[in-house]
Amino acid sequence: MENKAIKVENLTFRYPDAESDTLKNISFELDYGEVLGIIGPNGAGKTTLAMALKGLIPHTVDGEIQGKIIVDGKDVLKHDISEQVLNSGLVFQDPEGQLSQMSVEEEVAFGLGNIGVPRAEMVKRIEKALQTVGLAGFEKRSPLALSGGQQQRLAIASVMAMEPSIMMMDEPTTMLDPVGKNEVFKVLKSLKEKGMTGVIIEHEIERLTMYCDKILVLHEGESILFGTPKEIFSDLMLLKKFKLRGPQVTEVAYEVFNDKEQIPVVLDEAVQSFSKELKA
Amino acid sequence: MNSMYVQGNSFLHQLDPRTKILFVFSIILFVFLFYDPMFQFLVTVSLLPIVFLSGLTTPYLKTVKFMFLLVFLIITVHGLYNPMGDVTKVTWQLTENLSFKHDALIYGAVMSFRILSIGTATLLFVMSTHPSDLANALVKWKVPHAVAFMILSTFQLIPIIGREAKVIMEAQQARCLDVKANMIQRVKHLIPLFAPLFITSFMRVHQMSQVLECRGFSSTGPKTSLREMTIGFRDYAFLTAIALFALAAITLRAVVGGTLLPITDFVLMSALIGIWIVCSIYFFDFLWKSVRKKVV
Amino acid sequence: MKNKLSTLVVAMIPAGIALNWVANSIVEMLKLPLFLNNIGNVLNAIVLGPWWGVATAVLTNLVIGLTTRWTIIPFALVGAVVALLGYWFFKKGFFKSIPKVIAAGAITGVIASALGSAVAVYVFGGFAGAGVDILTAGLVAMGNSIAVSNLIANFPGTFLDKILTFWVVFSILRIFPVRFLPNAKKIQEGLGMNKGKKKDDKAA
Ligand SMILES: Nc1ncnc2c1ncn2[C@@H]1O[C@H](COP(=O)(O)OP(=O)(O)OP(=O)(O)O)[C@@H](O)[C@H]1O
Ligand SMILES: [Mg+2]
Repeated sequence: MENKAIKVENLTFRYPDAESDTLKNISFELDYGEVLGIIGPNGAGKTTLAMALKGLIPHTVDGEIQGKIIVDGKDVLKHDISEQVLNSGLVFQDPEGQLSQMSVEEEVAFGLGNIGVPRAEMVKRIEKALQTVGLAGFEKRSPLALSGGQQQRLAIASVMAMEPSIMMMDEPTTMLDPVGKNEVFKVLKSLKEKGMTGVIIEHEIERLTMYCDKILVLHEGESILFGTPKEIFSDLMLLKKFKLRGPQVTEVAYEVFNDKEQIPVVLDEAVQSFSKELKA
Repeated sequence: MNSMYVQGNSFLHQLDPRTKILFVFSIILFVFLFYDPMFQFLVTVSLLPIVFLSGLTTPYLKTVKFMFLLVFLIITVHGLYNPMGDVTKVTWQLTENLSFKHDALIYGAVMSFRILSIGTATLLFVMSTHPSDLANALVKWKVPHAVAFMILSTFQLIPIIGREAKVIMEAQQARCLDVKANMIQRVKHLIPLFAPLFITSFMRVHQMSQVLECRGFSSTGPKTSLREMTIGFRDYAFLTAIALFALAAITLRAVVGGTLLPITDFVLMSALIGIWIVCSIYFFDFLWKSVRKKVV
Repeated sequence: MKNKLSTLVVAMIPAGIALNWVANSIVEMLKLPLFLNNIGNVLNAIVLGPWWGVATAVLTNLVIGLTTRWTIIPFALVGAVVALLGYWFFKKGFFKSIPKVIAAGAITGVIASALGSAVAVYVFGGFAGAGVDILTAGLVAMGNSIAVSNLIANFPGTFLDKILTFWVVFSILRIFPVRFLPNAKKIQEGLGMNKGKKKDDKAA
């Protein structure tokens, strides 16, 4: 049996006093080196799912949970979160709310110090992480003096420096302005190129398709679609049924092409398809 | 928010925070060992060169201001009205029934210089120690790592919550809140102001607790820190000096008692007038600045 | 102190300190003769437990001592007692109606005021390094003793302040979304809410 990065089986979860389940019978798998994108309308349960994958549910949030979650070989429900810091890391939606230290370097060092990384190693990891997110040279600044995009990149660096096997991010760009969004997307793309295994919740479908290998569509707590971006977005009719849209290029191409195989989900592909079509 | 830390590279800045904490405590010990204004005064004055050598003169003079108001009130009010000791021993008769009494002035002067020396030592510590180093020192002294975190993160949180408060106030002002309404009205407005503030703060707290879990805060096992802290030669030298002083002071106290030299009226008058002079300098400085502000 | 603090407590105490600070600057901006600088202590004492309220009080004065004026540090004692009293009154069911809350605040105000004066007299010879010191000095000049003058000068402010502190905490906890309150059931019981009826917080 091959090793999976994430394996979720029949996951069901209900908040205390809630009338219905917030996550309903979710199952999926993710390989190492793959990035999973999770999409779905507001209130679909995306954040709840991310918290369950990270183990915040059930270890810090009450509720009834059923099913099985294995992340990086560890049974999330059985191990305390403090035993899972090396398996997965989570970046939250609100950039500022994740920061607590007085300078950029101390912010990155904070998590490392908590798990007892020796100082020499710490210094190396801080440098590398800040380099990766493009914040080299900001070491001594106060995190409060950074822009939203910079703060979110700092949060990413702080998680990354702990070197978890799997990076998870809950809408890391939603609260940012366009410039900040671009900055963070660049970082995400470069992480993908470096072979990161990750889970990313995102509203911007265009961007998501550029670095995701798999996509999971959540709707009212149910996993309604799971597959490669191509598989998912080719089925625009189904997406529409759930009030979601596909990438713009796909939507346009859908009107033009009959052959489903040909339908592009990212811009590069679209350019190719269209030029092929024009030549024909 | 900033602590009063002033960046620098002086001898004092390079001392380990733990050494400096011991220093503050030994000053507190010194000033409580004796009941002698001359001695308290000498302790205060002997701290001033350290202030200067640490490059903290300007910020020190700025922050020590409010202490002088305190000290001014203490020595003046106590000297005039405190009925302690022998009320007939008068140092300075102002009017028929207003006079500075000897024993009360001693109390006022001792109190004043105690406050000034403890205040100066504390300021020296705070101004030369980065809060992160303080937190680190506490951890080294086996204060729970969580307490150190609480202190440090407060520095970050105060400006964030303060800004939120401002946003909420502006929003409420746009609606109904009137800063100039009568008092009962303004008190009633406290709830619509505080409710959203408390709720967003609680949301923040929840998220922060989750962030802490994700950053391995509850990991058992040893913690490490980016900030290096070693007690070096400097610290040992400094601590030895403090220890010697302490030893001398304690011996002196045992042999001579709480008062070292007879306290003359001249000493007391100098203390009183000295404090008045410094206060009036601050006062005139303040006046001058406010006048200039109005003119410019 | 427990060895392993829950991270919620660890995150909540700085928030309590910040609320003390921010509440204080809000009433200043509204030009109200109040401080509300114990509000986080009382809140944390009720929500987290009495000793966490005390910790909030002590750390508040420590942080203010480190950032603005060190003379506030000894007055941590007052903040701590207010936190403990807040918890005690909550436990005894005083947070169930406005008159009771006001009574609890009044008693706390009297105790806090006496304690504050005791600290001021004992540590700083009757002054505190604050604006009311001038009033204290004036009262002494009028022939009162220093302790009495300090008490008279500080009493009205402190008394009113504790009543309003309790009232604000009470009013806010009543409308608080249950989701964000740790051990919400106990707190709502203490507030005399939710006998049988379940609050729907879905909308929040
Ligand atoms: N702590 C909680 N207690 C009770 N119900 C909750 C809690 N947190 C979330 N919910 C509910 O669970 C459902 C899913 O919420 P969740 O935050 O997971 O959605 P989401 O997909 O992340 O939405 P968004 O796009 O707005 O971030 C919502 O109906 C929400 O109201
Ligand atoms: Mg969400």
